Amino acid sequence: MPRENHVEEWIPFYLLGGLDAYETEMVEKHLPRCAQCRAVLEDLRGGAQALPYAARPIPPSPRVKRDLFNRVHADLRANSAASQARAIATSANWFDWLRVPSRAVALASLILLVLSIAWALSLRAQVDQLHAQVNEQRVALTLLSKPSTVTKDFQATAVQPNARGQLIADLSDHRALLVVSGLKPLPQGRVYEAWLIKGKTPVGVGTFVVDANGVGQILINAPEPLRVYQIAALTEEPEGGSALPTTSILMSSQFN
Amino acid sequence: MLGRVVMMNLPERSDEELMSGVVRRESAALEILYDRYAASALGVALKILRERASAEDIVQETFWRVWKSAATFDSRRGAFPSWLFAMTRNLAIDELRRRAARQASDIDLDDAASEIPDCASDVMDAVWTQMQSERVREAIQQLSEPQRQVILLAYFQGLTRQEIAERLQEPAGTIHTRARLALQKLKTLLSGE
Ligand SMILES: [Zn+2]
Repeated sequence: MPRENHVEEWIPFYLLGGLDAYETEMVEKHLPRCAQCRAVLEDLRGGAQALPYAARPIPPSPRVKRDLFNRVHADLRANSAASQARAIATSANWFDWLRVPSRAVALASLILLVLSIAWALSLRAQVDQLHAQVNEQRVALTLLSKPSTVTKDFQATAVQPNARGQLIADLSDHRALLVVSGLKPLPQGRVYEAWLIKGKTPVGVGTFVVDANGVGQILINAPEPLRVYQIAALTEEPEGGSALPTTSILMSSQFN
Repeated sequence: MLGRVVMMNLPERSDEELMSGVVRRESAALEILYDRYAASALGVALKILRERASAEDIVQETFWRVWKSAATFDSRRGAFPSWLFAMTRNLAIDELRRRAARQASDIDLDDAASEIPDCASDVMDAVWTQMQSERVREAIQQLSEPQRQVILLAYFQGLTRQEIAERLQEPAGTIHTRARLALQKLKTLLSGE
């Protein structure tokens, strides 16, 4: 703690983003109460504000702007469709209201508008899905190219002894790629679910299905860095996944 | 000098006016802000992450947050670029920490080639940004090496004051003083026209 309980010694690092969470909290609690420290903050702020410009500006590729505004426009469409749907749902006596023929026409065209927005959104959803796939492949490639990435055998238990799998992971990262083969294709409504187990707690990290040849893959994005988990495992679950595993473990791998 | 200046009498909407537009869900206002600041934001993210694809993802995420959280921007608490670049910097530092690959890389102010966009919708913005950046980099060159090191390690590598003291094997008090003097000198250098 800086002398006299003032925080002025920490203020340069507060402006530079170089305090830990505790120190940041101390500064933010102190500043509203102390004109002296606020004066130091104001004195140094201008210098800190210049720092982003110390990096040479580089125009992003056009893709960045295109993707951003696709998201923004989809967001606008989703909100306008939602508010129009709300308007219809909340109009109280809308049967009475509809007796005026011009209003019926207006409602029909509104419904048409909502339907066409829904159609545009479903197209948008397909494009989003493609984007997600491309992005997933890119993440997988990044993972594969990292020097700290390790490959672990994902071993089958006696339930499906012919299954084979590999877990490609950087244990300091949250992401891992799980690739399996030789698993039996599942009936409608059933999926394979991947789990990471920390102590005695399994955390579901995604579901997937395999193709006719029993091949499947999933990009895992764990809530915590992988090194905090001891085991990765696979079970069969109902579509949508389960809160906890409900069938026996089909495949597993130990991290440590 | 850190606010926007109107050059050559071009009619220009201020950042604050544009942010009010973004709050009213005008995507065109966001687009002008993007054209104005995306290159600087990418510069920041790239200097931190040193990898273009992730840095571009950070820029997209930053402006997405501008769109989604526009209402939380309060111009009384600081100028728009400070708010924007703080988001960019924090997202990039988070990503850097996730990678846990904090090698002792050299701090190089000229590591990325300067580019002026050939198809910029607003060439004046690009020129202004370049000029701004050159002035700041010149000012940073005028700091003493130890002062420069401390502020760049904190801002672009996300090291805390404790980590910097350990890395440089100096007492924390020395590091504090260097950071304060560096910021004061930068402000003085940049405020004289
Ligand atoms: Zn104080």
